[in-house]
Amino acid sequence: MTAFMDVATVARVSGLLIGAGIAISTLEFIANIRQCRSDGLFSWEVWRETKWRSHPRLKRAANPLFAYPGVLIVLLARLALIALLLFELSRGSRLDPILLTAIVATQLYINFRYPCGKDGSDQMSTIVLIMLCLIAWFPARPVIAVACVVFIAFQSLLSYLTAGIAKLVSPDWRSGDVILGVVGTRTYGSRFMAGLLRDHKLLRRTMNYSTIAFESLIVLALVLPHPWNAYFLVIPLIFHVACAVMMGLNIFVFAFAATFPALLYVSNHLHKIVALIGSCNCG
Amino acid sequence: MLESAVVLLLCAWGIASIFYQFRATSDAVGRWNYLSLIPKWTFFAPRPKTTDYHLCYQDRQVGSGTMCEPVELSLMPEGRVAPALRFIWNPSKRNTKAITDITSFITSYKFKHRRHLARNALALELYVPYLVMLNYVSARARVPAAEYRRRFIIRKTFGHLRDDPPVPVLESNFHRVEAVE
Repeated sequence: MTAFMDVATVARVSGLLIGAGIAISTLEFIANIRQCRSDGLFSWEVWRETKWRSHPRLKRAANPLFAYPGVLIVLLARLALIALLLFELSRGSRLDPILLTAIVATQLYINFRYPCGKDGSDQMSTIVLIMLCLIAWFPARPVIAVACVVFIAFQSLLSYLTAGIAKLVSPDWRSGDVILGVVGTRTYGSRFMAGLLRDHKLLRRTMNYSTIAFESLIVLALVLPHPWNAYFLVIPLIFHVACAVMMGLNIFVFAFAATFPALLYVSNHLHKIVALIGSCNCG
Repeated sequence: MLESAVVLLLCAWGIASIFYQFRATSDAVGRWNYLSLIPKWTFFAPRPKTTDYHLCYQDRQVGSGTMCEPVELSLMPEGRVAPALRFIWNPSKRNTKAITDITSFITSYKFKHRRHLARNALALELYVPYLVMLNYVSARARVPAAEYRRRFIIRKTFGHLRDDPPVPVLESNFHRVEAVE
């Protein structure tokens, strides 16, 4: 994990992880393309009437791009761009600013085009992609590159900490049994896991409280010394893989794992980053 | 100069993200969140959803008032995905999440505009998420004969471990549905 000592490596590993996640996500959007037709859940013909999408000029100009089949063409183009990004990064190339700008544009397109049905993995993917794009555009400006890496780490910490504290103050979560309710649903669970957790109180409570504990203590990833900071991040990684297996939240694994190189970088350079921010003469 | 601008922008973005997590300030921040750039991170907390939503439609004959049985609509894309593969491939989550989001939009709208809706209940029918659901159920199943009206219903069930009967969360008004040529 000493590899995460330079921004270029952090950006490359994050790029590979986020690229894999958004590739699967884009394929899932394409698999659901029927829902983008005029009679679907994501019908642009209806959703474009929401207040800031309904500007007459925007409606006229955007319609070919946002209605079916325009949306399918954009998604296919996005898939090709992601494939190119993954190919370039796997060859060890640096981030291509133009390629990343195009991918960011398609990410913002999805955020705008789909007013519902998105989740936290889409939000984290957006943030990571924009930061990687900025890093790619300004490779000779270390302050910008480091600020972007710090921002990814900040959003990662904020996400776990917010989720942890929100669970900590929730009587439902403190009861220790709420995880059974979540895993018991057809949307986010399975009959097998629900039965297992119902019959094993200790397992249920362990999963419930360990989720609250690691999310609330995520800041340890920042302050623990090397290599313990990396070992600590195995916990959220296992958590996301477990959520993918049990709940079908597959893209979270990639979107949040893509922030771990930034967390490790910030953790490994904590003192230097504080000094760099302090020495930034702001122009 | 450029460095300062980027750092300031990221600071503002970060501060907005912090304020967006709190109920008291999230509405004010959310007003500017056009491209979903400001994230909400309260996953499954403080009150996680422990129910499943189901989208149904129901037809009623005008005049006699005879109600047909509600029919549930599947939200799965074509070709079922084995549950064991959901850890890597789960396209249906978008549709089930969309139903959850739309239900939340409509119930929030009804609560927020309850006084206005008490005076004019038809205002709800112009709300876009309501129209999305109506448009969806109108097109998904065979269009009923002219003397029938259709409504959508969102029902919740209680997962694998409880056999309680479904509870309606939302019931639209009945509407005339016409086939689109």
